[in-house]
Amino acid sequence: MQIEIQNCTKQIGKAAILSDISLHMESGRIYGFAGANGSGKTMLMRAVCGLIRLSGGQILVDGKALGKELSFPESVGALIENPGFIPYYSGYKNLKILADLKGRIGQEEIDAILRRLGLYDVKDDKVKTYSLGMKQKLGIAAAVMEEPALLVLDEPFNGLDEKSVELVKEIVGEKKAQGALVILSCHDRALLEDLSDEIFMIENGRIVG
Amino acid sequence: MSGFEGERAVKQILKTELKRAFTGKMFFISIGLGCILAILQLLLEVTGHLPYMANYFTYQKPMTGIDYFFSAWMGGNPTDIYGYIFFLLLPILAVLPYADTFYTDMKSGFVKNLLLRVKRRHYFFAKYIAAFLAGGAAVVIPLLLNFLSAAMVLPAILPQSTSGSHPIWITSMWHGLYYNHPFVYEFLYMGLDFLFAGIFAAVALSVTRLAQNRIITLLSPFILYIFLSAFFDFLGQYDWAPRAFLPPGSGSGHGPVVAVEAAVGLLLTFFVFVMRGPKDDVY
Amino acid sequence: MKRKHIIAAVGVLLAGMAVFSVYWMLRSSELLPENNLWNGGSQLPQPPPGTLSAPADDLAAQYNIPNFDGLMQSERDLFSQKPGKTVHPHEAAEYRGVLYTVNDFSVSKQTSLTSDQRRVASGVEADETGTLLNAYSYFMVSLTLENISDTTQEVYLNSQWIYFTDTENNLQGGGGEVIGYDGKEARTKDFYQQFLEPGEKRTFQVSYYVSDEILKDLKLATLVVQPGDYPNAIFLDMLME
Repeated sequence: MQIEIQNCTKQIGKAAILSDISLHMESGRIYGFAGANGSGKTMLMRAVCGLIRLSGGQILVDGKALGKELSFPESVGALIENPGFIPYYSGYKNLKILADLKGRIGQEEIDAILRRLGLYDVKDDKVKTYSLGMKQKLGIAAAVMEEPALLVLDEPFNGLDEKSVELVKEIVGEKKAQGALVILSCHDRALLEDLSDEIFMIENGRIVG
Repeated sequence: MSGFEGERAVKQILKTELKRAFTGKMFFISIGLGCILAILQLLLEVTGHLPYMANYFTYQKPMTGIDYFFSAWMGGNPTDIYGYIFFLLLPILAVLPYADTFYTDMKSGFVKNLLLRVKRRHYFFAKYIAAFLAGGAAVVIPLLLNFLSAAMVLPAILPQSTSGSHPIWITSMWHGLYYNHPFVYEFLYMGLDFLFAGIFAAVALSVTRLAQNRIITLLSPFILYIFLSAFFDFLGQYDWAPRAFLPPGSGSGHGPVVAVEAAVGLLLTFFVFVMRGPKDDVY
Repeated sequence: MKRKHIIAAVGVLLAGMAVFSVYWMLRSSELLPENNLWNGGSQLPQPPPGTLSAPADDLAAQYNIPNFDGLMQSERDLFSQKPGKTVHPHEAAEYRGVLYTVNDFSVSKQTSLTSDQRRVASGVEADETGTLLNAYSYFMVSLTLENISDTTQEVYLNSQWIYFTDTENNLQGGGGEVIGYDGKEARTKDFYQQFLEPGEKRTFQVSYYVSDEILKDLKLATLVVQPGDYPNAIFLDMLME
């Protein structure tokens, strides 16, 4: 997979959230994005996932323009901002609903990822009973369970204990090894540097480093 | 996504939304509320007609007519208090099952997960269909319950237009059907109630898209409903208001007006939600 | 347009609609109508100005009927306004091309009507000759109908209802339905139907039940022709001696 971000801008009202961003990303690498809150990292991730429409420029995924030829990348898993689930459904049911949409995986694979992330014992509990860390891990499960070619993780380590952080690092490393293109943001610079092959610094919607 | 996967995703999102709509707690709560009114009406109003039937059989009054069933059930009696309350609350009953789930999907962030797997227009379409059908069903099921229960108690004698005890006049919509094929009339009318209930649910979805606020979402169809009855009354055309013509026994309603209102409701809500909704950013 | 502006606009629109609705409902009294579903009333339309009949003579002026207990709202309106013509025995009143005149009236336990010409009512006991055995009597009215129009008139002799007023001026509500007459031999679906040719005049003996309780204090019996046809209904008053 190749992602080409060409002169992307995103304006909301008068505020320029993204300004003229251009990047090239390829499979089998982890791209880290660093920056302060409100710098535009999350907005860029949303743009790459096709969740927002750009005010200018374009994003090409394997040569196809997002928002025109593609609604979203064909094989993508993402955790953007807060993990979003139906609170009165169980963790398992939430994942099943998502998995059934494409039909690529079944109960076995869902159970496997839940087991790996330590959520198997609570899989039938309603998500609203989960702690922040459990919801975060469920969000990661949703992102990785279908073996996506593009993995977008926005602050995936939020609310996780040390052990869980190591687990997630391990999973991210595995995805890279499997050839996935991973886009990652994290406040912890050391963690980011440890994981990423390339780091981009975003400030006021621009790539500055 | 391959073509096959795309097609599968459409069917799957529709199936998912319909399942969520029809197995959700709020769907059953809405039906429950409607059924409470339906059962109360049956026990307190319909059974009140039984002594008159006894009169008919015992008092040697061959000129007495019994024509109660079609004007005795909850939808057929325009002065019935339970029917009045039911049709007053119709938009609320329609909205409760599923119309606020677009708001909850957005608020919880679940919509992000969905939109990484299905095309936006498919999600919005599936949401619209599910809310429409669930809203319609939640309104019609209690009506059907009351109608069929009343049919077990009172005889379904063909209404007589000369009896003067029916609210359906020559100017009423589908009056010919009522006096010749009353069952067809009643089921067609329930279909109409289903349609408008679905439209009210769709109004709530459309309003959510514009103003993401749960209270506004849930109340907007009801406010619109009441406003239309006041507005048309103000214009001297109260019969044009859905509140006037939705009860089957109202005797109100003009075919072209009802058709126009239904078409406008469907087209406008479809445009606002299904056509324009996919163009919104998802945060 | 910012999201919050859109929310505000939608909120204002909905609030405006709600305010208008409440205002219009209050103005049209829909929220609290005088006659509503809860009191089961039905509001009669007001007759045009000038059509309320003033008491025709001293006798009529004595019929002030203040006590409306037990009456439906429509009956209270009908009797308090008495918009149609009120006449006394041997005086004719016209209803839609037909003159109605009470010739005579009487009360008895016996009847000349056959069993085919009269009906049994709930609570009333009679022997095979029709003689009433319990506390009810027949109130029989000799009623003449004359067609003064130039077309055949179809009349129904069960469309005049009887009301009784006692010496305390209490009007008995509910109205008595005719229980038989001598216009036809046998009870059929069209038993009460009669056709009068132009100029034709016919006299019928129509009978009603009256409880002996009412008879004890009876002051006035009123035959109301077509009470539902407000304000055209006519009132045939029969004062007790």
